[in-house]
Amino acid sequence: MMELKTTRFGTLTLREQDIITFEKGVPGFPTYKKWLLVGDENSPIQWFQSTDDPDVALPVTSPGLFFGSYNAKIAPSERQAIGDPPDEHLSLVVVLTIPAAEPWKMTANLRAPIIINQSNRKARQTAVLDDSYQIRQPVFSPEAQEKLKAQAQNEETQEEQTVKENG
Amino acid sequence: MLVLTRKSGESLMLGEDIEITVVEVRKDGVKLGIDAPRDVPIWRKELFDEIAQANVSATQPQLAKSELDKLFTQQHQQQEPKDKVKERTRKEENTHGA
Repeated sequence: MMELKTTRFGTLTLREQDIITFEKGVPGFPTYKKWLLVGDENSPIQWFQSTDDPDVALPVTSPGLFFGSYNAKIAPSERQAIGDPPDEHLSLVVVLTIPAAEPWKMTANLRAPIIINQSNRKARQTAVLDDSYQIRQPVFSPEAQEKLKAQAQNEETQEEQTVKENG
Repeated sequence: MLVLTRKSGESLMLGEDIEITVVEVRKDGVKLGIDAPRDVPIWRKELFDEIAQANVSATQPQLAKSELDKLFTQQHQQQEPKDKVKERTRKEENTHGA
């Protein structure tokens, strides 16, 4: 068992076999090769936490949750690079970009999913062969975004009122 | 970096299987033709820069986990009717398959 201090999750306890290795690093973080998938299974978002930098955690989700028809083609060479796992050992997640002030505008990188070989814990972020998939694909429809925005603003107003009443 | 001069119509080989031909040279760009085995992926370099940028901006969310979970819960509630329809269709398909 090892301990890992992280900014977002505090101190995590992990076993060597929990570590997921990106042999070529992750684009944007080429020297960070060992990562940990953190988050509870009931939440749609999990996080790739870097073991090299406590500040760096990438939110990811299963594309099936929001993009049911997602069916990107992975280059065979990319699959081979993580040991050519059979389908049942291959997981795929997409990275989410979540704007802090306007989280309903979050986007998913459908162009470059992360593929994970569950049997040897090797992973890789790979550009898919279909160029119709977007790097910043909105997760929520424009209508859903409007609703979430309205709800957030509504809550803010309520909070302000509570403060006023209490004050 | 190896730098070579090639004229329009000339090509070069990367290993035995990959051939890159200069198709056309213009003032504002060079048109290249690439012959490579199908399993060799070919991408514009900018794509990788964009992916790297997207990852860097993805590590910035300041929202607490509970806030994020709430966002998804709200959204799922809104979507529920649609999902149910989908599930039913899938069940029907299974029945047909069996």
